[in-house]
Amino acid sequence: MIFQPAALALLLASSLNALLLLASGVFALSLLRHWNPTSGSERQIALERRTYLVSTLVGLSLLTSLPALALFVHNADAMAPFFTGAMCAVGSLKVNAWGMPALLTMLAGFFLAAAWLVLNHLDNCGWDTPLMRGKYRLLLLLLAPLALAQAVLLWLYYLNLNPEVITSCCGSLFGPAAEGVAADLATLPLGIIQPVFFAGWLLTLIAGTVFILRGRLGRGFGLLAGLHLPLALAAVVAFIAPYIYEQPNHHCPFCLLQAEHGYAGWVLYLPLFVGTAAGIGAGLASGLDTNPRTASLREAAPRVASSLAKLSVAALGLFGLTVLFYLQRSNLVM
Amino acid sequence: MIELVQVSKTFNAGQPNEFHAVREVSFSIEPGRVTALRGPSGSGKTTLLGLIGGLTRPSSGRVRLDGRDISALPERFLTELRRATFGFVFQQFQLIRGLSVLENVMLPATPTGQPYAEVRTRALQLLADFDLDGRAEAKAQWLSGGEAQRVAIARALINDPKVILADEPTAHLDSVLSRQILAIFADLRAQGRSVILSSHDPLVFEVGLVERVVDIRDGRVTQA
Amino acid sequence: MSFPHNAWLESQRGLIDFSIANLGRRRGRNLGLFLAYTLLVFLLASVVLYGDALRREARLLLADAPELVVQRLTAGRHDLLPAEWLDRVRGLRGVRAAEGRLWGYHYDPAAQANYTLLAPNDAPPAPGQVEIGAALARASGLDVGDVLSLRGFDGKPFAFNISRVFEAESELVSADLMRVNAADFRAFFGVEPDLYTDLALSVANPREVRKVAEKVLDRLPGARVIAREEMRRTYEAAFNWRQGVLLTFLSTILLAFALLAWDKASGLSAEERREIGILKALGWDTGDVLRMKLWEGALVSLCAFLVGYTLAWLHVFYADAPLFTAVLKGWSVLYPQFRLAPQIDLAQIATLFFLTVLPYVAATIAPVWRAATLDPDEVMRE
Repeated sequence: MIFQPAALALLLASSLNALLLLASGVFALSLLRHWNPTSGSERQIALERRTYLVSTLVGLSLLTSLPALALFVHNADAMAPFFTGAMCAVGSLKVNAWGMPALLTMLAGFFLAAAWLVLNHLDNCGWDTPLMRGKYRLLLLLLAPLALAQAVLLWLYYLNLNPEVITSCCGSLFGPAAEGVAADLATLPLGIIQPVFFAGWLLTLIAGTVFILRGRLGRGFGLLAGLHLPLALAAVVAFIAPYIYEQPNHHCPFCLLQAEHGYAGWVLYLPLFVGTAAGIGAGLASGLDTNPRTASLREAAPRVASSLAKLSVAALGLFGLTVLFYLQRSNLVM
Repeated sequence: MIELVQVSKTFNAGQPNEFHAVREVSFSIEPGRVTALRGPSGSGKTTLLGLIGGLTRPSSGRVRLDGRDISALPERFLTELRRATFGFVFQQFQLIRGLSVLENVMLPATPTGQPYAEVRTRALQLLADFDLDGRAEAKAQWLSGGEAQRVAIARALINDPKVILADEPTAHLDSVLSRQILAIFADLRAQGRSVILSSHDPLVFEVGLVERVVDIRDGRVTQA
Repeated sequence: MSFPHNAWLESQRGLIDFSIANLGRRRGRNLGLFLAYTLLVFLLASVVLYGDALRREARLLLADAPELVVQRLTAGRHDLLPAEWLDRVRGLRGVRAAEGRLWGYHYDPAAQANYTLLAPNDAPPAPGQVEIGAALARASGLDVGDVLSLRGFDGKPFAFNISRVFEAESELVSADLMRVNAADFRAFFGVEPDLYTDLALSVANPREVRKVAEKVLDRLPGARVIAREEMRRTYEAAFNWRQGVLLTFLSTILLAFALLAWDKASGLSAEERREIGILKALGWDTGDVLRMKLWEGALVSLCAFLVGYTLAWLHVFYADAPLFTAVLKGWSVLYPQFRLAPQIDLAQIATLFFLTVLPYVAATIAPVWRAATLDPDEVMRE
């Protein structure tokens, strides 16, 4: 099972990722101890030089995180026929205990890398690099361990794929009869989840627009963008997916990725993830605006925040419009 | 106005081959003048020039440009500043082989992100000023010594810097070419730019170009 | 609509220009690496393309297979089964339809090929006639109206009139399949009228397949029941395993390539070091030099990937992948000639990217960074 090309590719990618970020984490220890920007000593210069390497590595991590996530889910979907009871990616992922956690770490990795790179970019705009320590603490405590966890989980997942195991189909996971978070999401009353989702989406867009035009509510927008993600995912499970399948009991968010549903999943999730990451980044950037310790970023922070907010509003707007399109097109009435 | 305050530069600190290139040098350079750093080889002139031009950071001490401390700036800022303020002319000109004259002259402007057409126009204008517009497409390695010299200076001027730094400009040049390049520096001075050069060539000090001499020996300023 | 001038974009364009010029200036030096890179992509892409194509064939093959196949085992070997077994399973709950199948293998020494003869239940050919697959027709140069002569079970020649050449989605199917009349089949192979090769059961609900299989085993002791899913899994597993073995072998090449890339990136000539020093002295900062060098790597990667992938494509789909046929198809020599259907798969390309470009980037990042952080001061004094 592990010998599929896609699995080998993913294992290689995540192992390299973990290796490189762990090495960066080790460097972070050194940096946090010796960092002294006003000194001209050789050690300081060497540290500064190495920060270029680390930011390139995190950039690489970000670049590969979404394609890796996409490949992982696609591969899980392709493996479904192997496992009794599996009809889509969900079944493959549930064959052992490592599949879903691995997926979550990949998702988290994407958002963390994006956030880190926003902070990094901002930091470079300041003549005293005020975020240096914070950045590397984040790297050491979050990014590096997460990368390691991701690699470990992925290895465990692929090494423990047993075709004899009868796994659950998404119907049983997301169906009304089951227990657990997924089922709860699927059975959310439509009278509640539909208006709440659209309200949340609109609110986020409004906050973003206000921020772009007036420069206020930046942090609020970031928060809303972050909260919007779980809300949107809940909405997908609760009603968007069934509308796309035109089947009131089919709630699976992974089956959307298949060709027979027009790859709707990709069309929805891509702008959603990008928009969320950009929104959170905008929130982070605007949060630094008034902080006295980051005075050197006073000009750059609002500028960066505004650009990210524009990207976020555009992407999340696209997401919402796509949802409306699918709902309107569907023959189902729930 | 460039100020150096107790500036030192040490290489391989703490190791057996520790080398103090510059030791506690302090002096100021006024704008719009031609200043020369005079001293024998190994006296630290090149390093000092690098420190003045923000090419390298002092191990200790402060370098101030128009009152602003640039010694602690992160590399990005320093480089941005340097690009806008300083133009470098090296010994042996150091043009990039395989690139055309025009491409060489435009090089310092690439990271600034200015529109290509604008930079190109400016570069061609500079080449015309130096009677080189006919050689714009020639490969750098085909130039004569005199041509290479002028291309190097045109390159140093592409970002319209206030200060020109030249490291041993007349080394490897015969008297004719040496006088030529010194005449060009005089022109630049007349345009209102500052010129700072390092040299131990007596010719440089004979032609009446240099307005101020800073003597250096073993990394220390002996006379300012 | 005019776009505002974007300084960042413009500077990247300048860096890319310089990278391209750089690559052009150092053609000789970069050529070796480029060839190795292309070779790597070619090998890996060939394996992946071929394996995936085979897997697709198998999937097509099995798409129409019945959910359950019942066979009789005698002394552990597949034996013909009696017609009354059909009656015994027809009535089982969950079985939507059941039919007896007649098929068998025939080895033709003249053509040195193995054929599968099938007597279909719907639209069977008329007596004395045979329908052959398009690939088979092509390979043997036969066409409608020709006579195909084969030796029957008793050694006597059997003349079949080719009445139709059929296309199949899978070339593998059309490469060795012959459809004949049931009576002809029995006469040719010497099969008694009340015997079948196996039974094909159609089960309406896929989740019930297992239960139905159990019931069949209850009713027919000595039977073997094969589920389509099992077959599919076995095929996939076999292809996976073989493909995986090949890829693992190739991983040594990958490692060697990574080392080569790392070495090439680390070994800067004095001239290159000088140039980086110049760039930095002129006003390029470490980030600019780094980005320029990364663009170089990206351009080399893109070219190598495109060329390698294209060559692999040609190798697999037009030249029949002579390098891998033995391992991937199986050790059996008597395989029919068939062409694989080419298909572009985004996931496959992503996989190849991770297997080739990512290691290259990972191997060259540190050396490239080291080059970009050269101190202009040190280089100037050299």
